[in-house]
Amino acid sequence: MNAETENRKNRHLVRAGALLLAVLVVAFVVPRVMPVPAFLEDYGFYPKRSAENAQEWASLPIKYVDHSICRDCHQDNYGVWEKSRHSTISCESCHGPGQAHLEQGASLEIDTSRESCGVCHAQLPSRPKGFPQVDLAAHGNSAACVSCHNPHAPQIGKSPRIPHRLEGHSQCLLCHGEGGIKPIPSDHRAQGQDTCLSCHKK
Amino acid sequence: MEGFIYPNEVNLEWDLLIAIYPYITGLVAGAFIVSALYHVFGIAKFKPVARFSLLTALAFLLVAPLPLVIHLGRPERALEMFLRPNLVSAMSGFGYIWMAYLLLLLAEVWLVFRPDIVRYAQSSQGIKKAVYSALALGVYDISPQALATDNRIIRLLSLIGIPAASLLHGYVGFIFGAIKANPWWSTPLMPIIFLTSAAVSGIALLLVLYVTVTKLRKASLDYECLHSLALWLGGFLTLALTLEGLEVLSMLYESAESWEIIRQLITHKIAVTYLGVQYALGTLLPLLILGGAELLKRLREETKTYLRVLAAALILIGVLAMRWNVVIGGQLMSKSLRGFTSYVPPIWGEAGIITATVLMLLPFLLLAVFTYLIPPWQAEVKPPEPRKVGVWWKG
Amino acid sequence: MKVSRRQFIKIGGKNLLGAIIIWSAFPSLLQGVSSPEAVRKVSPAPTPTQRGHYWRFIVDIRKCIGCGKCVKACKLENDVPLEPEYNRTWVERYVITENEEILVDSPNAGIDGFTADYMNIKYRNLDIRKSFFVPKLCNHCDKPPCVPVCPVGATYATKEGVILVDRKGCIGCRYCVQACPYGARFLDPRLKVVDKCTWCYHRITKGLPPACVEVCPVGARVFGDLRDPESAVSKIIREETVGILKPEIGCENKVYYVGLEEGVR
Repeated sequence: MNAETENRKNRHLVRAGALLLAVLVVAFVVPRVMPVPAFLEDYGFYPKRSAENAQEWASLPIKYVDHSICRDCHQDNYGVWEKSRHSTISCESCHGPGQAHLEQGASLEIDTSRESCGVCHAQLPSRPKGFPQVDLAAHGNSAACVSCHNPHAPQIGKSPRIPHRLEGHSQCLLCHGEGGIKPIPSDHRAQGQDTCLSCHKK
Repeated sequence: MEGFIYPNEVNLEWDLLIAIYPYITGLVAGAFIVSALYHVFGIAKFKPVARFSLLTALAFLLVAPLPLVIHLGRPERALEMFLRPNLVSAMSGFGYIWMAYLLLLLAEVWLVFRPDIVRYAQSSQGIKKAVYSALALGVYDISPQALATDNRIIRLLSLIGIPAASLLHGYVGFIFGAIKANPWWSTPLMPIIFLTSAAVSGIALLLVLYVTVTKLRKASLDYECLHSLALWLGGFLTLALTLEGLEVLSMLYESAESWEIIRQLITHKIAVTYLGVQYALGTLLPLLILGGAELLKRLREETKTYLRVLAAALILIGVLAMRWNVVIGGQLMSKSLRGFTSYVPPIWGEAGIITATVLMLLPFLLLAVFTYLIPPWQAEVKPPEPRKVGVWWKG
Repeated sequence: MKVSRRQFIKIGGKNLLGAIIIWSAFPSLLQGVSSPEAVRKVSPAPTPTQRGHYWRFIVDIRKCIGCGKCVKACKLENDVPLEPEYNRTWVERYVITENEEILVDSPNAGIDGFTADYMNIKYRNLDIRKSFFVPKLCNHCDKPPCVPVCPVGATYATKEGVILVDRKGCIGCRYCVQACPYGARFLDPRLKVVDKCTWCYHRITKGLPPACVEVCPVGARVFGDLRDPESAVSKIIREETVGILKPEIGCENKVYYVGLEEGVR
């Protein structure tokens, strides 16, 4: 049998083979040779570019700034904070990310609630033993922590010197009310906040 | 949620659609194995279902990628799988293996059905003629020499098809088996377990379909064929049971760090679908029924048929439960080994029960179209003669 | 030798077919498999010719107070969804009782701290032997199980060993989420692509510490270059006993823990 007739005989196989070839070329070769238009990139034709992608990640905007920049405007608080026990805590840890504040003057968080301090200082059995913790329910008579403690330079276990000046101390009963550090005797004549200053001067 | 799970584990990432995906590819591989048993291994008793099994495999293969694509976060990027695959990923195999297998199956179906297609093209009119002559690629050569060549290629394709089908489903098992982060998945037995359960589900599906379609056609059943199918089904089911049992038994015996959570998983979280559906209802009960149908000589063939169909249907449910237990079960368990998340598939939605049901019905619809276009039941067309393994295409 | 037309087509076709298959796979072989980003070997000790950063992250469990500021800062800095099931970093609380029971929780991934009453009621009457917090984040493993599994090569290691996800390439199959032993990855519900800790790649490449390190009030998180002998991480690694999570899995994590207790995973 010569090749010519055999070829005619298996024409169906030749056509099937050609079809297969066409499918493979269209499926695997064309997309690799064809320049990919940008709009197709999100439809499976995205070229792999990990170096470029790493650059994209690297160029994302930062939101938490380097805290040393805070000193430029807030020398007073910064100077106090810098020397305090809280100097391990970055400004933005409590005040939130600063980039928007720097760029657009967006206001920062100033949270003076007991819960805000309690996030770190409320007593928990899971915290490291040496870490300063208080039982919020028993400590400070529900007053805002900042009325006694300066968050930028906190002091532990130091009540004002006795006798202390009244200047700067507006809420007498925080310490001297019931449940305070040094409550006034229960038979003390006047109990109201307003009346303290009428007898106790300076 | 019970116990502790990592916060990011609250959402179960591979949902119902991913559970039915291995079920579908398993049915593909199983149906193909039946046709290969006839075409390659010369098991003549499978002749009545050999051509039908090829169409079944094709119908399910065409639907297989759908649940995957729907499940993707970015389905519009699905082509990336083909165009820039990362070849060290077990999952990237999907693109190549599925495509290669589809081409192979299409070629085999075409060659097996070509004599019919040519006859329809010659005998029909109008649009039908156009469809069939396009399917015949315009060549009407069905001379004995041409068919002999075709038959040799069919056997070759079947031969290649066996490892290809094994690969198609074995790699699905490997996708799970090679995840060291998940102790319920991580076992080298996984691909083999998937393969044997694939064979089980494929044979069971063919048995059910063959009986149903034959009854619908009001034709007579080939009891020899049914008997053979039931025997092979029982054999593969026993193998699957052994492997699946072995896997858990060795976990129990080794009692590694992860055993405690796996124990809770199988006896508590997925006890119903695992011990109940997969083992009791889907494996042990069908084995008893199949055994009874084969051993009890007094049973009428009709009764045996009903018993076999019942067993096969139970097995199909059992294998679906097995896919669920692997895919969903493995994710219920936290990788912290300290707790479980929970998952109930929604009824509606992308990954809901409705979607899954539609996806599972789709292959049957395709199969109906195929059997309408090229009925696999014609007895007068001489099917290829089964021969020994090792035939090479040579003029 | 005469070659018939059929033979010619047959031979030519076979070769062409082979060529197509090889050609079509080749670019991905080059890019996906053999590139240093994809399968990165552990780098040997720094040599003078091989400069560049070699980052390490240290978590000191003994110092952590469980305030959750790191979790919050991470979400704000990186625009991570605020819902508790999407986290690049989170804080776990371990409670070990006198009965050797190990209880773990991470309410809202720790973003609000652990002081609210509902978080503590269950522990009130327990006989606690010890308790501590364990901050978690991506370990940026030297042998990352999440990278090779990506079917499209969308996740990779940079030259410095930071594991990133190419959001424009990720198809959202979540195989990497399954492969990560630490639960460090999640699907971003807005973009439908996988997201994870980048060690604040945009900060560390500008010489700033990751946001979680910046805001940690007690120095429980430390980040730095192992190739700089004066860096804080180098000093800690020299002076302290450090461990990694799930060492038996063999990922060669680059997040080290100081004060790591048996049973933490």
